[in-house]
Amino acid sequence: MKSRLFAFPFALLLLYPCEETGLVEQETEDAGTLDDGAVIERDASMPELQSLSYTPDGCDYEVATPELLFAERGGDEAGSEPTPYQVHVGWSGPTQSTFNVNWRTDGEGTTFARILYGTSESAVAGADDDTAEGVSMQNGHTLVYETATTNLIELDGRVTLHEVHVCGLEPDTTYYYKVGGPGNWSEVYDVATGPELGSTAPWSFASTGDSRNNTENAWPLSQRRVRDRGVDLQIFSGDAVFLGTLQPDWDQFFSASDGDFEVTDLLARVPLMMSNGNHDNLAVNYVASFAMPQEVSEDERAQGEEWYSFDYANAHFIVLNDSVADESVLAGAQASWLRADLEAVDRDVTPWVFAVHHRPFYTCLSTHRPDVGLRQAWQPVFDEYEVDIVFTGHNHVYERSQPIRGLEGVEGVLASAGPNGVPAIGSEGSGSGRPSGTLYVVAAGVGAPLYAVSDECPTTNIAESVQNYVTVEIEDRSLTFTARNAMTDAVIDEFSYSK
Amino acid sequence: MRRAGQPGVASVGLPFLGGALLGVALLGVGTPAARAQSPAQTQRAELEAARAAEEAFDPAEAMERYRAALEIDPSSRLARRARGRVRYLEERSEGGFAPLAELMRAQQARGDREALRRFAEARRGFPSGRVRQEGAMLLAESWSTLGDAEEALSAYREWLEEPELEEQARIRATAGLARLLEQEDRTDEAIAVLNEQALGDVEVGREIAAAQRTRVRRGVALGVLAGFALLLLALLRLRWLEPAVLRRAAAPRRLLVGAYVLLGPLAVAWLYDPSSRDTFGLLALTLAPLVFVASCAGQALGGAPRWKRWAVALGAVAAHAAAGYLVLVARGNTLGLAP
Repeated sequence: MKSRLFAFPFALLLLYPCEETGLVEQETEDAGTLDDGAVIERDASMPELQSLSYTPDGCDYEVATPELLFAERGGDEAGSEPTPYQVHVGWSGPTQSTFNVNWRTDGEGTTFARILYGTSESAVAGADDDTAEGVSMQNGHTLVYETATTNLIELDGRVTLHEVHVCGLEPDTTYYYKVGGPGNWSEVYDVATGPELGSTAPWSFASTGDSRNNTENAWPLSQRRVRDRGVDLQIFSGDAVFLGTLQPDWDQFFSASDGDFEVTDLLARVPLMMSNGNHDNLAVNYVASFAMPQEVSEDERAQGEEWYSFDYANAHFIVLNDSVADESVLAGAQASWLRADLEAVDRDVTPWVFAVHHRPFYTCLSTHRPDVGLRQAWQPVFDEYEVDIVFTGHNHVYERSQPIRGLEGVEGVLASAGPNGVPAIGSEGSGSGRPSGTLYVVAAGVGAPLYAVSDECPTTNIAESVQNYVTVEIEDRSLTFTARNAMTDAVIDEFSYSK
Repeated sequence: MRRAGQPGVASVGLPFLGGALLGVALLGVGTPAARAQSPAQTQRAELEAARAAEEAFDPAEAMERYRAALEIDPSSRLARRARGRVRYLEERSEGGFAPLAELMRAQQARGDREALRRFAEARRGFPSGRVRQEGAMLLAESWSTLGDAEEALSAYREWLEEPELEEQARIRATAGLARLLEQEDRTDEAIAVLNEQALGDVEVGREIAAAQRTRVRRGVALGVLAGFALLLLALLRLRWLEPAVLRRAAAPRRLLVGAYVLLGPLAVAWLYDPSSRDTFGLLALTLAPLVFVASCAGQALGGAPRWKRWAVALGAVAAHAAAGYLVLVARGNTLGLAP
């Protein structure tokens, strides 16, 4: 009898699968997902959530917001504290002819969502509307979302964000802009459109990830270093914050400073293209704060911002989401999208293909093991379409794999390598200019606590436990890759190859 | 040098022959940048020359080339790179760029101990400024990464003693020094450094405090396990290993209950939290002998006084908790228990 009583609790748990107990399914509205999969519940007496979708003037893409407390096109209200801050730029459309800007205001009632822009800094600085010569204006939208600010069980704060999209721009051109509304403009920033697609002109990008916690203020220091390198864009492999639903974490991400440098100095000028990490967890704070390409594909959440791709000059970037609610999406809908996306790439126009996601599937004896399931789901596609470099994070280290092509069971097959572990480049017939394998890079840790790592795995070329950032310089078919210690700017790893 | 807005060599309107002759002359005497055919190409050439100068550890030349690139077209996309590098170089121009040249060499040293030692010596003579400060950080972090604790400790201390140390640098130096001391099992010194700098609340301070708590708890857990073993020896000597006792303890019903107690949580973890499977697997493996020993002791204590049975029962519970805690700490998974 006693043992039967003892058995009761375990038996209950074993007999009822999780989904049927309601531990995952919620009947209340989800106002934001927490990292442990729980949700913050909205009080039924709270206002109805709303969303907005529209096509910005001159753009050939649609913009859609998540469901929020407030989402409307920009209006004429200055509100109580209309000064823009946390300004940052990105791309939702073609990089050679568009850009978008997001920013925040405090207080209540600010509906200004305008941008004044042009190629003359002084004209933009002196303008209050688009009647000034050489100055154009666009109107975007304003949204308000509820967020946790002090703990994870209460939506005790509201955040007002503004977003505007500018299209129809000239390629390879620097534009000056300010955002806000009459009498309440931000400072003037500059942002450059990308070169024409297929351009062989030199350009560069940086890769960072895992800024969460901002240990020893490494996040703004890394951004200062990236700014000093003068890159054209930055990709981020996830985990910007520790808790995606906690607004102070995001405020730290967007407002951190190192001496006289504020991250806005970079983020308002150089587009940042984000990948979702398990800590960001597609929280409304994340989805609302960034404007990324929004083509909704099968099973995709976040209005299409969960995974996406874009072209810059002669490169194609794929941004994937491996922190999904339903793991079957990885090998299912997302892998299908990935295959279709890569199938459509014209390698004569964009010979370089880079992928970004969060959880590495080649990593050596670090805190998180290689994600073998992800490897089986995505590597065959990376192999088939000869992706050049895959950037990941999750383990707060720097690691570069040997060139890898193919799987034997679940193990990666080492491809032939050139000097310093770069892919060997084919030189005959259809193999001409084709790299022997893909390089898998873990470049994470610009604030997150460092993990141990080893270079003893056969697939690992180099591994170091340091806060780090990567820059990649491309000129036509030549690539120069440099990984640096984000704290000291010392070189950790460096290689070049042409194809 | 051609300025922004000035026409390129190919479009100056000279007759073809004159243009060709001028081109030949430029090829003979001009720099690669000057030979370029359009402002964009000239700017690219200047940027390449600047980059080459940086790679040759010549920041003064790099600065000149970047500035030339900026003058050609300050609003081009490529000018942004020049602007970024000019700002970087200007901020580190103390001592006529000689210290920066040394720093650039050291940044490329990548594990070359001799180069680091030479740089440490040179750095002591640098004028105050950003290069001197960044050099101190580079040395401390490089020695630390190389695993040379004594060199790293001395570099961190030297960094902390820098005059005009910025607040953020002071925090980084203190945190680095404390973390290294902690790694070297010199916890008291680490805490002293944090207290000296009034930085007990930085993350590394919290980590060290947590590590210290974990050490104490680990000690208590090991003590509890040793205490349980002594208790068994004191009360039962080796009676719990007698064949009859072992047979009773290994009765199928008891084995089934034991397996259920150990494998039940593992099954739940298997179903609901795959990331905890390894932890619960190790827990089952570790606790299995303990459950068996406790079961044997229970059998051996059949006719013993009640206080003895209670002592062994409570000892077994404490030993279970202690062993479980040690497994969780070893797995780095404290299941929500604050470290």
